[in-house]
Amino acid sequence: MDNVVKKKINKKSVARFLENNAITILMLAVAVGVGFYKPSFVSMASFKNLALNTAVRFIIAAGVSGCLITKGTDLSAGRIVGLSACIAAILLQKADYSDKFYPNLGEMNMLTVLLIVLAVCAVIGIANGAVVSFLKVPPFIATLGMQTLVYGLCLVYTGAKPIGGLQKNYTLLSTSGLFENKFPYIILIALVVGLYMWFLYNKTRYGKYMYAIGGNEAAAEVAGVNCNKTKILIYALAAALYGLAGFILASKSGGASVNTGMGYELEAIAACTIGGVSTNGGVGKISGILIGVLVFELLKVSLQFMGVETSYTYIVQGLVIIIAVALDLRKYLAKK
Amino acid sequence: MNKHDLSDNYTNNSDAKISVDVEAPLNYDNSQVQSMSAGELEQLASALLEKENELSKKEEDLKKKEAEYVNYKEKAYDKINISVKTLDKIIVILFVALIAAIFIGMFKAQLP
Repeated sequence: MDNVVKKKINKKSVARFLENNAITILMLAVAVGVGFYKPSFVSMASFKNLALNTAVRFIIAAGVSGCLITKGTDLSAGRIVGLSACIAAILLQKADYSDKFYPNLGEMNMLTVLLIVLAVCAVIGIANGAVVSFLKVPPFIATLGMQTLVYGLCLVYTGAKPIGGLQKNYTLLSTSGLFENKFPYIILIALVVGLYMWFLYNKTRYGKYMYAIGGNEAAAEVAGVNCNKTKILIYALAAALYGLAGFILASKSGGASVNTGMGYELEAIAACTIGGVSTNGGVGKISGILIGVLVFELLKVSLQFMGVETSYTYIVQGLVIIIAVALDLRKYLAKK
Repeated sequence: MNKHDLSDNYTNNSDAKISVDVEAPLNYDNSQVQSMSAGELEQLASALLEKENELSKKEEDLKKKEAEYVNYKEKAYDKINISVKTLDKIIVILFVALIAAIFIGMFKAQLP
């Protein structure tokens, strides 16, 4: 009898595990398959590249996750990344670069530029949060508007000109690292961001308020949570994280243009959904987001190695997002 | 109103077909109570106890429902009217489509 119960429990728990991690398991299976099919996939260089791509996208996804947990979204993420990359690249050009954006500007300190970028992005985030919370505009529409606005601002500011000629110490940020460059600084930054966000989500009032708003905003309001203030903080923090991601991305690519970061918001939302952040609000963990980003990046790299035609990779990515949402919905309905 | 008929819809108990005054133990004088037979008293006591249990159950249910109603807010997923079985079928179809897309993509890339 006991054995029957144990078997039932085991079957149930296995089914639940499969239900919760179906996409992750499938993507890992694809990656293992690719590893056998193309042995060059399993190399240190390949994993380092994967880790670097994951690091930048994880920072963006960590920002978007806050908005998703409060039943919102942030479609302006990619464009804010682009704007911050452009600002950082413009302010951190070499003094002797012939096509310098500001010819009379000397070489600026990297930390000062980072602070400027974070401040500019945070202001955009505050605007997003204010529109969502005070004007009660649905986040989808509010951030879609901001996306176009930021793109326009970026076009006007840069004149649609690609920006290059970055200072050496700025580009070194992405090429160097600890332990004889074996542990890139970008990954270290992403880890610090991850730890900070984990602490924020799990150990602070800010995190509790965020989950409360996502669970039931009216109940949170009644319980004394300042929903408007919390939402503004969430959007501001998210935008600051996009700023940081843009700053890193410009350094990693050795330049920036208005198209930098295009479509990153959708990748970030997809990664969050794969990682268990419910689009229904109130659910999501930082560890899940990291797994989501990693799995999504792994899928992209696997498809490249498998030689899948580029147009088809978008179809596959889209299907993965739809499956992730369907599985999330299934979880909700089954619980109901 | 103190009078309750214990044979109403709530009890459905054929043994408890007695019209009982809820405040009976307080209002009955000693002679009335004393005039009741032991069987009648026992029946009365058990009927009252049953009714009390039922009412407390109902109260608990109502409290639960009230809490659910107060905390209830329709979520986006509540608006989707679909059964888990249908959703499972859709998910399987999507998985098949995903794998098909990967293979077609690989096949197309190999074409000259």
